[in-house]
Amino acid sequence: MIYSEKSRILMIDEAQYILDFTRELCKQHFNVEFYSMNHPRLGIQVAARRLPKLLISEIYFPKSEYFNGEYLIHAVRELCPGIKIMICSTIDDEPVITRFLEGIGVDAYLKKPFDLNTFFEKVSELINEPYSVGGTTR
Amino acid sequence: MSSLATFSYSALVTSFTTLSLGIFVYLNRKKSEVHQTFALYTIAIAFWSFCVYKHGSANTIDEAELWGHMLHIGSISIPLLFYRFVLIYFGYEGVVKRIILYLACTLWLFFQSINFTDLFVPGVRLAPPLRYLVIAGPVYHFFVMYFVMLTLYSIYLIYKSYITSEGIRRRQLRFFLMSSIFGYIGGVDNFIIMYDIKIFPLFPYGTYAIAIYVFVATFIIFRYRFLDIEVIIKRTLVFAGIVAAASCAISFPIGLIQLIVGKTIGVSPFWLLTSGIVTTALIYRPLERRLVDLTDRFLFQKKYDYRKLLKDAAAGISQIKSLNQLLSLVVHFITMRLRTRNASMLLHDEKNNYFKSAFTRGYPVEGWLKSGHVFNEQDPLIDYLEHERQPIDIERVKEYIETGGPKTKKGSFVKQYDYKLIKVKMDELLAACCVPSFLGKRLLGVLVLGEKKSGDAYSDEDLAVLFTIAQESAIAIENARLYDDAIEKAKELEIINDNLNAAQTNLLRALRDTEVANKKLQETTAALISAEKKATMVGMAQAIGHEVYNPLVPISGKAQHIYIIHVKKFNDLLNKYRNAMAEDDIKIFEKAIKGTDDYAHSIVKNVDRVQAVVQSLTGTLKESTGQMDILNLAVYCERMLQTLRFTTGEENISGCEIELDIAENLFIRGNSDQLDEVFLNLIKNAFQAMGQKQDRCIVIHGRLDSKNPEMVRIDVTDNGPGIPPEILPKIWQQGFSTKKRKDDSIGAAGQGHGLFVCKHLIEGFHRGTITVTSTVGKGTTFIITLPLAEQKE
Repeated sequence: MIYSEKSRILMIDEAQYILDFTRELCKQHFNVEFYSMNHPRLGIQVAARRLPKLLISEIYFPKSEYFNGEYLIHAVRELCPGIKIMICSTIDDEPVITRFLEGIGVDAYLKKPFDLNTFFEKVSELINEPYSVGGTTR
Repeated sequence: MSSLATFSYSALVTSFTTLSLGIFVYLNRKKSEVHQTFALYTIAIAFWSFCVYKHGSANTIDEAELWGHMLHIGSISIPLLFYRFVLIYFGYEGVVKRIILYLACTLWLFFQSINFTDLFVPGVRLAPPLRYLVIAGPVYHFFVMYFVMLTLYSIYLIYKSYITSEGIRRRQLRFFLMSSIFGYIGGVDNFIIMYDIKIFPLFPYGTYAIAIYVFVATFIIFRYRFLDIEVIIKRTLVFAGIVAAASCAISFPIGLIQLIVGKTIGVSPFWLLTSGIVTTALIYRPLERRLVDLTDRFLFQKKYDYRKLLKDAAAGISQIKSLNQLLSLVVHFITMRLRTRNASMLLHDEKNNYFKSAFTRGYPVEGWLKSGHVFNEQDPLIDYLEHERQPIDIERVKEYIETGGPKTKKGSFVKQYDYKLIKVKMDELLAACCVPSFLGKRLLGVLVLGEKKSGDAYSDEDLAVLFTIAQESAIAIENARLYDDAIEKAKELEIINDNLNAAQTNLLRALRDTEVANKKLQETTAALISAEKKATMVGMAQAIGHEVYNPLVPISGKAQHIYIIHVKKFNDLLNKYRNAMAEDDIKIFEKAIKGTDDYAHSIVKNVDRVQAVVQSLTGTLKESTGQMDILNLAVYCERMLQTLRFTTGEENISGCEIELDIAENLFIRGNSDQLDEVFLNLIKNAFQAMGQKQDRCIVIHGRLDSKNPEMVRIDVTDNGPGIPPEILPKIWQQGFSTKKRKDDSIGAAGQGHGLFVCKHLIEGFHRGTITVTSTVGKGTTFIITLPLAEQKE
């Protein structure tokens, strides 16, 4: 399989409209390839196939039989060594956030609904690429 | 020795012994007719014997003739006194016997009256080898007939009594009968020599038979208490004499040996004396034991005083309550008093229907009869005792074996028993006598007595006394049994009581354990419910948050996108085409851009508000399941204030004085996070209500609730503007707020959830109360009560 030079971002979330919105944001403001999957198990398969540079993922999957977010992180990490991971979740419990940031070692944690500028900054930082806002590259 | 001497001396010996016996019998019971008659009878024999001696040893014919008449005074009296004794002793009565007695008396008087006449004894004659011999007169032959017939009839009466007697009586009569026959056969020699008939050994030894007759009579008096004579000889005196004799017998050869050996080998007399003393000391005890045994066995068995024996037995028996002690006493008492070789007591076991050896004494160690040995009710010995209700001794059993058992007066046999088996059983028991012990009609036990150490048989009187003692014992045994049963029951009751106490203690302990377990179960159940509830609540909160926050992502994101990207683009376009546009169009355009920007910002702000509301609600849900801890109120409040200052840093409450007045060592049960939420709300509310007022002050006052000592009361008081009375009831409602929004609607600055949450947390989860008092213009006090917890170090 031939991959382009663009950074690949994989987003896993059960809410399709969030995936669509985020795809739109990333397409508009970053020069990346964006993959998304609304089921964590399928998301792992996509990660194995696409080897993304950044994983943006929810960790709460009520529609997917409460698929374990922590397992998802470990699985993707195993398949894609060196992958950056940003959690974008509705779970705002401080202990959970602390555990993922410090215990599991994810790279960023955004609480939904997130601040757009923060999102841009974190993604840019994690894929190590600038982003353009209103014709201005940052 | 010549026949003369032998004849004369035999008469002298007979005279002496017979006289002694007569005196002894008379002195023993002077008032007894039997004794008097027997004494006269023996004195008559003694007188006759003495006269025979004098007659036989007379030196002149006149002397011989005189003593020849004298001796017949005795000989005429002998058969009459013998007959009279037999009648009295054996209790013979009746006309015939009385007629014979009168006839005998008449003849006695007649013969005595003609004794000194020629009709009876005309003189004496020389009759070698004797010196002189009486010449029989014409009446003398009638005298001989009178003598022989009366004597034979008396002997016949003895024989008749003998064959109908039993036990010791039978033995007495056997000896007396045989000795009488023997004595009279010996005595008849004095008649037949008058007819010049000399039969060896009747002549010259026949008279000795009379002496032997006396010896035998003496023997049966001593041994079988013939004539009921108690031989009272001080045993200690006899014993001392025997010991002295024995000591002399021993000391003499020892001294002799010492003397010879001392002289031979030259040993000092001192050492010889010392060795003699040592030797005597060593043999003294065995010798003494042996002598005691011998005196018990061969000397006069001390005849006990039956009355005293019964009195002592009754006194001893009545004082004992324990069955074992009682049996021990009875057996020891009888063994010691009757001097039996062994004794035991068989007791009936009602539960098992057998007789059991309950106490033994004097049985061989290796013997089979031990305490606990069992005899069943069908045992022939037990059967006999139970049905005959009288004691039995081994002599009687032997006799019954010979005769086939006791007979009725009519000569028919009574109930038959296997006396051979009874003897076997008695032999097994080493029993010379068995005495049944009845309580009413019930055979309670059997007193088994061994042979007397003296070898004497048990007399009827012995058996009667023992039977009386056995019956007294039966009552005492039953009482002792009841006493033992009562003691046993008391012990059982005590044990049952102890068991009940132990059971009660265990029950109480089990109840306490159950209570503890129940409490733990309740706590565990509560914890499980709490955990489940928490999990449910957390899950619900997560689900609510998830479902609300997710749609907000594109809403908020797109609104942000509008004012970050699009508004900027519109402004760039406006600026680019500003010069080409009319002034009015520019204004319209600018207004549209501003409107878009405002709306986009407004969307974001409202999203934030929705987020805040949801966060508050989900936070409440999560916190509602918090863990309860025991908190030191003062320590908690200090920490809570530090947290408060940190979390409200942006609102800068440093300008407000917060005073803590908390009593020491007050402990409450509470969840610190939830309480943080409560106090944070109250203090923030107070702070905001006080606004920019000078000297703002909040006081937190904590004390034990004076109205309810199980609660702690915490007052949070501010000196703000207070709450109007019309609003006061509404402050706990969800969504109600006095803070003004930008659009002047109630709830703009706050969400109206703070006090609702406070009430919910305090009253719903802490089982406390929260109330408020307020005075407009002076301030507001929130009063919280929380359960007092046990103090801990």
